[in-house]
Amino acid sequence: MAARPPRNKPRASRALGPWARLTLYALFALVVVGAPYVAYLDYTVRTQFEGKRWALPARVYARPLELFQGLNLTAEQLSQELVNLGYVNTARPETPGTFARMPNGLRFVTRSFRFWDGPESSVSVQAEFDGGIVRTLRDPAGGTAVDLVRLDPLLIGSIYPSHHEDRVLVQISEVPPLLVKMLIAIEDRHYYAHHGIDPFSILRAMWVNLRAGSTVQGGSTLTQQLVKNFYLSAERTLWRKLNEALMSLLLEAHYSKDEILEAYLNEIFLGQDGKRAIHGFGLASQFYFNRPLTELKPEHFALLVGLVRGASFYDPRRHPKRALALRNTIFDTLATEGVLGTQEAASAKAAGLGVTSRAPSGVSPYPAFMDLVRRQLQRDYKEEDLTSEGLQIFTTLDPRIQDHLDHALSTRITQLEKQYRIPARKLEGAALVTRTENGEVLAIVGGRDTRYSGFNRALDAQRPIGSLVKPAVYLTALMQPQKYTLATQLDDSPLTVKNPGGKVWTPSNYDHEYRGPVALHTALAQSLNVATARLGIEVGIPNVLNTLKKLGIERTIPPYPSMLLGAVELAPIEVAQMYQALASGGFQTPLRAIREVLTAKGEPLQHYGLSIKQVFDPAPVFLVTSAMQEVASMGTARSLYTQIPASLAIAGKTGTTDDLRDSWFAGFSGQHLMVAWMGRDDNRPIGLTGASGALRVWGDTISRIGTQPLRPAPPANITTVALDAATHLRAGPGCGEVVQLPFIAGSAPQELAPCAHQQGNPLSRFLKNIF
Amino acid sequence: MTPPTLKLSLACLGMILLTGCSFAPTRAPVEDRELARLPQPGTDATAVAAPDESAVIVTPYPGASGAQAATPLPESAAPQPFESAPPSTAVIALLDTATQQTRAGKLDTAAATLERALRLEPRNPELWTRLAEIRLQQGDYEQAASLAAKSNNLAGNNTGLISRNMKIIEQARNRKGAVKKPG
Repeated sequence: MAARPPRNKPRASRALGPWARLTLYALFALVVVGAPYVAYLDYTVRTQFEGKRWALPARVYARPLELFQGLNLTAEQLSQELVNLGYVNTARPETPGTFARMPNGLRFVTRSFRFWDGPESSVSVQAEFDGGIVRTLRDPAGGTAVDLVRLDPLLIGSIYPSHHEDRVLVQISEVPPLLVKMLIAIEDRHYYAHHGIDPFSILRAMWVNLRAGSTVQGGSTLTQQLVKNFYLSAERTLWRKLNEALMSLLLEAHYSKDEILEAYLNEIFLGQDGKRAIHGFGLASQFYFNRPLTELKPEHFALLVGLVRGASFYDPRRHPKRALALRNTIFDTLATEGVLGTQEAASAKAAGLGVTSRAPSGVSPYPAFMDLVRRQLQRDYKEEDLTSEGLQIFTTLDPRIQDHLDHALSTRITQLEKQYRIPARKLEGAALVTRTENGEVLAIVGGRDTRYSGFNRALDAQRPIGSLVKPAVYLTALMQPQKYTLATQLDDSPLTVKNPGGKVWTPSNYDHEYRGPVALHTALAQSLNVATARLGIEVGIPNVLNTLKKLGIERTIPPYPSMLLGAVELAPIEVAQMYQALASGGFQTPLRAIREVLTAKGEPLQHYGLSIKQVFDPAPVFLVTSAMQEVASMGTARSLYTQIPASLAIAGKTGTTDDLRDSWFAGFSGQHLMVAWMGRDDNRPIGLTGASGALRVWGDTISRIGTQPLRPAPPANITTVALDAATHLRAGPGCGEVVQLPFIAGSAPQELAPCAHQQGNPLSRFLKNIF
Repeated sequence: MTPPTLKLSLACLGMILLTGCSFAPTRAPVEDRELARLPQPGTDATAVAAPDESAVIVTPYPGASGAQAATPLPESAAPQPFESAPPSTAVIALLDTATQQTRAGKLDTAAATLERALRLEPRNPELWTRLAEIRLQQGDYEQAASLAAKSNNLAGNNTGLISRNMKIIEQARNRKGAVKKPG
């Protein structure tokens, strides 16, 4: 880029007098010395203005709420969602970002928003609810049905550059004209007339300051203010003043008034939030009013314009009286200048400041989830891009589920600590909730202080998983239907195994009892250690390890027999990955926290699509899922159904480790998978089993989020057979206690149970009913 | 119910009756058999206090057909027809959009639209098939085959859809083979 010297080069002429000649030489000298400097300034002005002006933090959004007929959602929940998004409750919602409660629902106007698959325009909707379900969605004007409504997503965090300067860019075309008029009337009346500096205003300021005896008025134009903030340091010297004037002239020479104004609107400092500096009107609007600029009213504009004079001195949250006085003075000036009518100004003055009581925090309320998002982003993006390109990150977080999970974990931990006399603040926990079918992570908690972004136990606490490993053992067996079915009798009698190193391992059951022969499904439901260990050794430890690998466990696990009972250390998120494959019917589904990434301008950059991989035949997965449903209906997790309806038919597994150090529960409904862990950071015993600890949080959360029952699709080769409960042989009419079990076709026992040979008579059946 | 468990249950019941005890699980090696399903003060586990499994006569197996078994008990041949509720208007609208996007050659966007529909109806096999077809067009054969298999898993006895899926799986296999051949 070639620097251009000033255009008005003096031209030498011989027909001049000596004085004129002297002047000419002087000018020539000035040009020789000054021109390169001006050229340098010109270069600075242009490169910085035309290049990337600001380092923009990446914006991270939650999932957008999608409304449709039949969705499980109450009017209260929708109302809360709208309030969180900064929608304003008004009598008659007519503009974007407003809503009203109606007798059996809500009426609201959505905001337009640019998503990965295109823009979503603003719509007016009337939603009616009935029994916790969205009954109808209509256009309130015509009454026509609306199929699907997508709200704008909640901003859940930003990824800041190290200097913590934060802004939301606005384009001049989307800035309300009244705001621009006000700004110009207050800060720079001749903005559209001057060439960067305004001599009249400088003179006037000098006159005012002289009379006052101190600096009370600045004569800087908007251009000068921009130059000062954008290019120059804060020092107040004459030399800087001169630079400021020169650069203002150069800026005006190169760029249009609108371009300069747009830069000004985005550059100006308008507030401070801890370490974070609030720049520009776009972010200030969110920061003070929790709404986009386009939704603000005159009284809000006037306050923002006032804050240009001193955002900390007039901070409306800390000094509301001062801010109000300033705003009202501004209204007086606006009335005098004719920007507003006297009436209009008077009524605007009567309005309150309208500032939200708490600033939307720059620190994400969901640190554990943000941590996961950052880690997934760092696979594909450089840190520098994340903190400077203004990328828009659309995530899978469901704020409603996240809030329930946060609350459930922290309250349950406090309660259990008291109940089990665990030293105060020693019990820790972690949990996550995903969608079973697509692997989206909906919520994640990394510790009891859910807002604290410290050690993220959900991702980083590797703990022995205990019996959570057992479904892998049983799945390995059930993949051989000719050898193993749910009815196979396992041997739960004392067992001693020699490890490769020569050490002897003697697993025992939790209650130190042995069951003798026990049906395979019962052994899993009751979490019998000895029967499971023997089964695992029978099917082969390498095969179990291979199953774990196919379930998505990437870590190398040493092939010791004790791994069969959970001497495997995994983080909760790895457990979730493993159970995800079971919950989705044998399809490995990578857990995802990000859906899409857009550029700052809303251009699609990357789509993290749904990807699945079939790793198991569906039939054995169906069988093991059935046995895991028995864990909740009759097995170690049966206390779950005191918290949630048994009709949800949850499949899951409890896990407890040596000396009750870790309490686990992993389970899924037809819609959600959740893994919960409890333990101590110093790894000391907590006195909780999987059922008395983690299962409680699991139930607390699932009972509140609303979920679909689990009804696994039976593969075509699955048949259901009734068996005599005692012998697990084919039942007949004479059999009293019968269990129905699913089998892979051809694998069900053929032999009839002894009771099947007897003719059932009413009396014996009656007696059996009693005992 | 196996006899030892029954004994254990009765013993538990007896202990409750005699002492009103609430026994916390004893320390034990890796195991989580929740012996202490008994009421613990202040918990909500009271409803499962009684070891009542002996009262169970017919135990409908979770996940299996719920038919009562009283008479000769053959294998129930075909699995129940799997839920085949008609798709909601929202999903139909999204399917239309996906069709338009596919026609316009915007395959990535169409896939995103189908994923959106799948969030509303994750068990709608038609949606999985449509996504499989797009992945096939994009040359992502492994995804195409897996997605079609997923649809099969949910398709119940929708033979039309199953044969569409089988075709996708076959094409994916053939083309993948063709791609892998040298030259």
